[in-house]
Amino acid sequence: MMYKYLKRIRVGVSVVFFCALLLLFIDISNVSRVPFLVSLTSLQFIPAVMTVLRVGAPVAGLIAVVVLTLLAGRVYCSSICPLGTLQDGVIALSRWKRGPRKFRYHKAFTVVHYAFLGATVFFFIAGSVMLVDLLDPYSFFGRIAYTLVRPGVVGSNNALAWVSDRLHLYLVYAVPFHTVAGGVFVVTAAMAGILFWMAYFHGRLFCNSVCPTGAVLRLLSRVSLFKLAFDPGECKDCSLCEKICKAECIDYKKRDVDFGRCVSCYNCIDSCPSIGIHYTFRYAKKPVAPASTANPKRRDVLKQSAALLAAAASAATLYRANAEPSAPPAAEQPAQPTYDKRGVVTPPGSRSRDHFTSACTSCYLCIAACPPQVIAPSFLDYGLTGMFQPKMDYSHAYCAYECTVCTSVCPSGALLPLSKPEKKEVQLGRAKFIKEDCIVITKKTDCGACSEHCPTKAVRMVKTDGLFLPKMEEDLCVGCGACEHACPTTPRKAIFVQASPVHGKATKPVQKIVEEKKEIPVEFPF
Amino acid sequence: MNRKDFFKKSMYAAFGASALPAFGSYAEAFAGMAAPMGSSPYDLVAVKGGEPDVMFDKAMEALGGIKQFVKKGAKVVVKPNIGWDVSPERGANTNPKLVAQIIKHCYAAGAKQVTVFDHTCDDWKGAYANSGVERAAKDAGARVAPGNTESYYQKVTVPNTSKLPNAKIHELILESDVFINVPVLKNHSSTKLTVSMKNLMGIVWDRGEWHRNDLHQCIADFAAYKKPTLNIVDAYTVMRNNGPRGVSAEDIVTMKSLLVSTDMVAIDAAATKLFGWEPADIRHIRIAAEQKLGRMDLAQLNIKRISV
Repeated sequence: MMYKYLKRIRVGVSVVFFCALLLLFIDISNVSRVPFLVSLTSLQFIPAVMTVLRVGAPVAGLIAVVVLTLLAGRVYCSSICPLGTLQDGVIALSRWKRGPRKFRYHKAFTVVHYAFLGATVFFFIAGSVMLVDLLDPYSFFGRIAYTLVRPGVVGSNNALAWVSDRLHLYLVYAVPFHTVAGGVFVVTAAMAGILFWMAYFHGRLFCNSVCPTGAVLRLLSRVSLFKLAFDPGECKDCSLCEKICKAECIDYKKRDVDFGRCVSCYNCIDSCPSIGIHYTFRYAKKPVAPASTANPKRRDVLKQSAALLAAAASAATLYRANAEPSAPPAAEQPAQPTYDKRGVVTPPGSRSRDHFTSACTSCYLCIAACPPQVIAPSFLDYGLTGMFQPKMDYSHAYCAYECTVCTSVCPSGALLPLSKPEKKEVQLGRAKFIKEDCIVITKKTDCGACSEHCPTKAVRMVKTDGLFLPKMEEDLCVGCGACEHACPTTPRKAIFVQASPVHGKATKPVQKIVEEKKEIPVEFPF
Repeated sequence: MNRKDFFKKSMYAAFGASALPAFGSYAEAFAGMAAPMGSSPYDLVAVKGGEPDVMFDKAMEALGGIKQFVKKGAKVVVKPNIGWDVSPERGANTNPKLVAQIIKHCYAAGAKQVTVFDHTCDDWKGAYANSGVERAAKDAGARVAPGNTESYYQKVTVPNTSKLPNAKIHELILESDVFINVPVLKNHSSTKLTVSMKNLMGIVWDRGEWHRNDLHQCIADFAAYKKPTLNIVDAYTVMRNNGPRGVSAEDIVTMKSLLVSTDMVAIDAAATKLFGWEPADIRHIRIAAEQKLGRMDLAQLNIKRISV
């Protein structure tokens, strides 16, 4: 019988997704960043929704998840969602520590759950992705992996590197880790603490009372073609299914599965000595069943929730329509660039700050994948609405001129793919040179570190009063931050990248296709 | 040599030796001299017209083999320029073929271990890979070590300097028996030109300190402190403009040349001439010559010129 294998298949699939995604976030060697593993992120629900809404591109992964849910309920929550599997890990831990868990049917926190969804939708329509970012289970998982797990990996690696270096083997090398803002760490750790507490004591409570993805799929699963239900004829009245149900949605006395809350883990099927619970066709012509299938109370709740959602959406739309038109982004360069007007530089492929902050779910995959580690989490740099979203941080590194990795891994469409030639012309910002701070002026000595590192020679050294002084040609600048990174002035840099709220197009350095120029000396000039 | 000549030379030698202390210590007198290399009488070997590996073979042949510098069981560090995350034909990094050939010669001479590293400017993994140096070095049997974290660097005092009291140097340099410096000849936005003395910035950690404190003087100060066993200048593909990173292949000319010397000032001066400029116009070369760290007067040097 196929039912025997359902749980095993579910466990297998969930382990594959979990391990693959975890690896993408914590693999410091980036060896695992192969297209197949990266493509698994396209099945993540909220990033896929973001891509559809913000980029307008249809995402096969989203259609797949919706179809799957309409077919068989929230299969997503126990197989594809890495945060779901993470909670299952905590639940397994609690079983191991506290003995076999005995879950008990618990009434649903339906209103709370849909209120979270409503608030998320409200904020989103009103123009803030803050709640989406905070609550999207995939991005939450990503932040846990990046800010809480990865430091451990880096630490162990660096300890190994230390040993290897002391033995002069140079087999393992130290990896810098400098890209977690304190606020991100604190909030993520606190949220993870709450999540683990919920999972440890109440199974999948988060999925059924907080998670917006869970709420959407919960709505969809109410009209799924197939649903899990009791077979009164087969039920042996043993209660094992209720005791193992981590969603606490099985009421065996009433022979009822609250399928909206069911995360399709199939533990009940697995635990059942008979085939007392199995998939049934929802729309089979049957005499109207008792309370279990048509609970008027629940139907009311459902209606109320739908009304709440609609209200949230319309309120947000109204709010947005009535809101003051937001001030145009500071695209015009101020006459005297100063440090507080430098802005936040968004990563390549983000096109504009507006696009980026409205589409990014802060999963940190781009940060984890960035080879020079120039992309870093921000805390409140984008304001509250863009809390956590990544930014370019030139204090420890700069953007590699020919690298396009971040644009190829983003699942939410916040960073759109760029080819190498395209990337080389994208202007993330424009470098501003502050002559008064420059070493050449203050110390009357040659320097040139900025020009040295510039990949396009947007800053070159021009002879001025006997010394070579940097001179900017901003149209050539790609905003990579190499000059800012290299500039040796203290306490502040004499050259820095001022963010472009809308990414510009850099002028290509003049290039003629030339034949190989030969200057092999006929005679040595010495 | 007949007997008369022998006496003559001995007399000169004796006279010279006795006269030297009058002008200062022996060490000081010899420090400024480029000691002829190995078993050869040459101060500098210049090769042109061949592939990097072939030119290196010819240079070593003229010097009596790399065994003159690399003894059996020696720990060797080869320090090419791998500063930039660009491909070999862009000429921003030392030619990988040359690096591989040097490593092979070292092992043939009985080196215990050859290690290659650089403190890169661009992200080190990208630079190591894209330059082709990492692959070439590993294929030739060398160990490729990173230079990306401060923990590899140890603080040393740089004596008798005007601007650079101390520096943090990669431990590999401090622990090796033989240090082979393999710069690539390039135009440079900070120092006009980069050759062997400038290439030593790749073995130190805090280069910003140098930039803040009179870069040319710091380079010369450091050259007085650390003298490589051998300098090999790769002038096969030479970056004429937009150095040190270069903007496109247009910045490049093919010179197919190679220089070898133990004297950094001499080899830098010769490279500058090859580039078409005057050594005295490059301030750190001039300072180093004035401080008698080596000889800039190419006309007075015994140069072996080879055409392949």
